[in-house]
Amino acid sequence: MKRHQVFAYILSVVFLVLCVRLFFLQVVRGEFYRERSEHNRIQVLKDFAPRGAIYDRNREIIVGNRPSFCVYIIPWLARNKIDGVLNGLCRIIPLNPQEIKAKIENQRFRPFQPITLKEDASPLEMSRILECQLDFPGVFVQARPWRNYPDGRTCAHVLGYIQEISNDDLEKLKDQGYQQGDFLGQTGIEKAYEKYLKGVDGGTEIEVDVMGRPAQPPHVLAQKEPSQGADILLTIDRKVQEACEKALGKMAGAIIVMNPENGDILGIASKPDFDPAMFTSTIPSDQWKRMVRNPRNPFANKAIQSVYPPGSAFKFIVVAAALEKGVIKPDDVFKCEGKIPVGGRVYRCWKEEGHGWISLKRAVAESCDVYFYHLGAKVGPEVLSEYAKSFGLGSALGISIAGEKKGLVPSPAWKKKRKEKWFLGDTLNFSIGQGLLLVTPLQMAGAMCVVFNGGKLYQPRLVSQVIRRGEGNMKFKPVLSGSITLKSTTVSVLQDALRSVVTSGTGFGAGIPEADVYGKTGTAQNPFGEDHAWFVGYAKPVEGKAVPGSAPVVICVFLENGGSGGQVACPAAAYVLSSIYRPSLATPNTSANTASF
Amino acid sequence: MLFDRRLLKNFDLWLVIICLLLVSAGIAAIYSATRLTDYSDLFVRQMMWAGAGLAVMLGMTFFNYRILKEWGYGIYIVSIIMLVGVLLFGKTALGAQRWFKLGPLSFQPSEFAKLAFIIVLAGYLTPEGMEKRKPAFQDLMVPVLLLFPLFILVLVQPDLGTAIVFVPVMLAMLLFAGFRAWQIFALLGAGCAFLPVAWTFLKDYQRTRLLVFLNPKLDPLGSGYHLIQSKITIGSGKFLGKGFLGGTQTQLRFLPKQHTDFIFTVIGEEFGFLGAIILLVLFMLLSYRALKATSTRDMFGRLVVVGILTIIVFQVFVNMGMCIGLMPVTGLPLPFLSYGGSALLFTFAGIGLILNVRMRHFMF
Repeated sequence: MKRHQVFAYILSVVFLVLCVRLFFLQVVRGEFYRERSEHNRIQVLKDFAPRGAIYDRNREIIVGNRPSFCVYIIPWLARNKIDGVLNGLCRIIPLNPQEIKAKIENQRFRPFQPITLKEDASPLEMSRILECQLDFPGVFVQARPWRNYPDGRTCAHVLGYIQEISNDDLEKLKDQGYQQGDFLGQTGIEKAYEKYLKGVDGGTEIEVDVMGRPAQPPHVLAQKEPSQGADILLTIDRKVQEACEKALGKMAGAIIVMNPENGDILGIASKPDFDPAMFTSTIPSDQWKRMVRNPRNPFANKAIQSVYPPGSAFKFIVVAAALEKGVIKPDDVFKCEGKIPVGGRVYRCWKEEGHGWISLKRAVAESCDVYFYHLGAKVGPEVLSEYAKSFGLGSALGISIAGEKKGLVPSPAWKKKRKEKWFLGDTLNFSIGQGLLLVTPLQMAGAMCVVFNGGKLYQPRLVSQVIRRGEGNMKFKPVLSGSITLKSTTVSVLQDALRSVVTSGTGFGAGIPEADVYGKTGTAQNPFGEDHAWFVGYAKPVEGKAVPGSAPVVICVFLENGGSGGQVACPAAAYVLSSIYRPSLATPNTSANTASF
Repeated sequence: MLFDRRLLKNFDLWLVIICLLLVSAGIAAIYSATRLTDYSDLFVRQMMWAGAGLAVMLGMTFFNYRILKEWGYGIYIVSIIMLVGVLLFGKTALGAQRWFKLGPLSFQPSEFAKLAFIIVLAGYLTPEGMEKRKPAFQDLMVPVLLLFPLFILVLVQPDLGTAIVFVPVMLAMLLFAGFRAWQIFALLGAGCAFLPVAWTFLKDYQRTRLLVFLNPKLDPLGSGYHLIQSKITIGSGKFLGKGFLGGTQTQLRFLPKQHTDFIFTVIGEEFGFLGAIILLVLFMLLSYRALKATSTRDMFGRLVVVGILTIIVFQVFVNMGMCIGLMPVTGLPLPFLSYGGSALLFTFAGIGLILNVRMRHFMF
């Protein structure tokens, strides 16, 4: 057989197959498809998948779903009496007929595409619409799971919020099956775990007649069950979280409670906060403007997204550096006269009359600045910088929600790159946590974990499990993100000093009888306003007094423009710690030691 | 040479007429599919493209196609450069990076690459003095090496449909070049072993389309919806169709992309089985006229014609097959009918080459 004959045969087969198939579709089955096309007023009833729920570590629900009802119109079905329908409806639900008609006009070539009239309609609105359904052809009510926040604002910053997908995002995410009107996680856990939380929408494609009534007998062309998104299990303990939020009260700031031994975040609060539920409905524009313009920035998660000078709270890292490098011995003393002159300027201690001859332990306990000027100068800025970094400052710790700031750990090299000179004064500022040094509250909590663990730093963990239906669960193990070698004497001297801060120093107010509290206060000067108040420390439960079985926690209290660390931050820390360890306040369930998932 | 009367005598006017009929059917269908939309002027644009296409087609007949043999590798390298360029600087649309934007025009280098591949392969398969000798199995090496970079570069755009077109084109040309059936089958078998690798290059939505084709119930509201609606649209045309502009499915826009990938459904609905068959017959006649051009004794010319014809027929099969539920949704346009400037230009350019070969067959 010749080549071109073979080829001609192949072509004939190709054309024959097409002919036969066309004959089958158009002639044999033609009548069937013709009828289908005549009744092809197909309506897709979307069956929204509930978003995954978010639970705390004890499987108490923090965000779930509730049923809601959405009113929509299919323009084609209401086309002959659209004015009547809209005028009737606007007596029941808030609605601008002109606006809706403009939308209908906009999509006049897609007359079967539903247009939403009211989301999350109230039961009263619902029943009134259903009563007069005959007056409203083409108007339908659809059930849709709606985000529900049983605890209101609790955890708002961690959870983040969801919002109807914007046109820009829709363009990018079309391939992943997003459609207009879908919700998309915008911040926090809702954003970071969007792909697990979302679920897959289902739907029913049914035939309806010209009036929009389902065909009789009902003809379902296709159906798909929605599948709910995966649930997220947080490491947060709701009771601890609530205590953190209460402790902040009306102040601006952040409190973090974490388990130093595995990085679990038990509580992470930021104030002022916002109501995540407001994003699933239309936000009144004046309310929105007020929130956006609020200088205390309710949308920022101050625990991770804002950076501040740590002030004296930084001193424990200076001590660690000095002891490790051997530039002082634990019992070395310096004399504090309330100030030292350096290069024509006077660097002061917070205590004007001075501390006199003072030891390391007392210098930490009383937060003597002059002592730390001496110490910092001896250690040198490079080493300070190196230790600050190995305690986790200056880089993101890797918490799983977006927006974590890195902060800044200055060094002579860093300044040189910016063509600036490093002065001795920079070193002195650095050693009392002022100057260029900037940290997030979470980083300070992490640094305190290093002290507690004697060198180990775990990545802060917010999510312990993603519970997927059908597929296996994803478990997140603690991740050791860094580790430095500290001499055991360094650790014990440091811990001893931090203990004395609370027993007989500036951190007195953080002490509680049920636990041994260690920590460091800070009152960070802030060129833009009031001082920031800090307390960062850890607590070990006292057997017999604390809730049985409770475990140590690291706590960091930061109050923006709060004033004095000792006077404001310490009582807040004590409040949170009491709620964890005091048996009368804590039910067994709330202890920090609940078996981790 | 331009005035050699034998050239004019051998100009295949019938082939040109068939192409014009096809392109007219396309313009009518585009008009019907888009007249009630915001882009109702597309049929005018397509007319302008068709005019430009005719000019390109005629242009392609004015030189002796044999010079292309000398330029083969150069053209091939240019096409590779363009494909790499489009990946780096191209315009992204619909999740794929396929186009260069030149002012208001966009240009799809993969269309050029198809012709380039045919020319370079035809050149390779007709070395001087090879006419007599039977090709050996190891002669398959170079064609595969030529295919590979083009295939991968188009696949990662990602444009699965166009990438696959290269394969039947190569096989058909190998067949005409004298390779035996078993050699070609062995090559095909080896190619199948490559499939799992190709799978990893696909985007999620492409995998979904393939899986949904195998089992439409997987996604009845997504790409399964297209399959269902497409069948309803064509089937409901019955024998005579609903009449021009009378297709309820088309006018109410049940199908997306009806002026591009699903243009055949407009014909099927509005002109029925009769219209669809006439369209098929036109494509058959086109194949017949093109096959006549393979009677030339020049192997290079024959291979070029076969390559171009294979592109056209393969796209017809895959595109129509998709519309009638025989093939998965791949996004290959229907030659001459689907809206699209560069596709139309290059189809006409291909026809021009076929004409060219036929005009000069007396020279051998």
